[in-house]
Amino acid sequence: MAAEASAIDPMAQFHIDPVIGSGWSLFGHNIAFTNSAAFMVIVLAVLWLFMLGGMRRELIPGRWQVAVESMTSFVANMIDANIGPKGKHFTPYVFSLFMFILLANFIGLFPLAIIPGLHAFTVTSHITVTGVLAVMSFSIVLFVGFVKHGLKFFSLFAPHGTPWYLLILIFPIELVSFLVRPFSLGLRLFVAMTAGHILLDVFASFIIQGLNAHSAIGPVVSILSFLMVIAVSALELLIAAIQAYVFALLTSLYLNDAINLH
Amino acid sequence: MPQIDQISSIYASQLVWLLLVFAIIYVVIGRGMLPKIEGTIHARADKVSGDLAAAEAARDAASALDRDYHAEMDAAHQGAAGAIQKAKDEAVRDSELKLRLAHDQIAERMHHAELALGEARAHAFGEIENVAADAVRDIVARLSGADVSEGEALVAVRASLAA
Repeated sequence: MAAEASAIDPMAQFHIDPVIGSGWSLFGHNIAFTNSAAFMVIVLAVLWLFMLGGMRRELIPGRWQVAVESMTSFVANMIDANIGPKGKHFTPYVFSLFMFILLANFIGLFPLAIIPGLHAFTVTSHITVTGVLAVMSFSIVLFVGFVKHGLKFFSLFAPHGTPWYLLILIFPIELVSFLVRPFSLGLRLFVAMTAGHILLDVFASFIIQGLNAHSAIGPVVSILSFLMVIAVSALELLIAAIQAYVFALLTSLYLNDAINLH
Repeated sequence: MPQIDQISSIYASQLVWLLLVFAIIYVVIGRGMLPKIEGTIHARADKVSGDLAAAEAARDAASALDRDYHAEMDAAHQGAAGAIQKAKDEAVRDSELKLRLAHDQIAERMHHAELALGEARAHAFGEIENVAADAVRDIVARLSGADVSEGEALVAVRASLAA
């Protein structure tokens, strides 16, 4: 235990291990049910339970129903404000995306580690997850754009009223900025979650190391680190919500480009 | 960083489970539950706006009723005031007529009374002259023994009364 405590690895929390089915494979690829997959299923279950509270469909809603309805209205208003009435078809997708990321972020912050042997896993701290979500959003944007507008979709990269000699420069710039979108979308969430959790882990390890240091300054460091952990936890809760919002907002903005072409 | 170190061994598992979970979320929650919840919100919004419209209509009807009521009340008030004024005027005219009538009767009776009084006074004066003339004739007869005629005594009494 002592050796383990003195060498706390802030990266260990991101490690993925199979829970069951470590030998499962699909077309030669390993698809074990990992702790990451388990937390995805937990997110699904929590989200389903949460939504179930909104299914009572009462005219005068209770607290739970109001909570569910405020989430759906929040996403519906975001879609309406950014895309307009044509964006209604995409509300289920953006809502699923927003709620999945939001709950994954929050559940990842859940202090499950107070139960020995368990620790919360943040699904969205993995580029393999955020990247897939980002590519999914980007693919929908491309698909909708080309289906709706055909080759006219390329006029997205040529803003109205641009003189032809500037177009030579602007077209490649707009194209590159467009193609960078999936990377920025996926990386932003991945980096925000990873950095926050490393920060929490590092300050938490300072508390333990301070207590084990057997020096006068040790407890002071521990107390300061503890205060810091409280502050960073509050900040992380905020970031968890903001990152989910940003992901959903950018997705709806990109969808707006594809649907309304400027 | 396990996210990158482990990629080659976990990518398939992450992809498969993410797609599976997200597909379930999209189909069951996004397509299944979300429209029903939004339907409830819309139904409530419709109900609220419908109720508001009904309340507004009811308020308009009530204010129209109130207006009618006030107009009717005003008309009734005016009618009543007119009736009262008419009754007052009639009463005033009536009493004036009666007063004048009574006044005239009183004046007439006073006239009659005055006439009777004048007559009575004249009559009384005549009596006094006769009494005085008799007295004068008696006095003269007792003092001087002369017999004064009735006519002479009357003339003398009239002359001394007029003086």
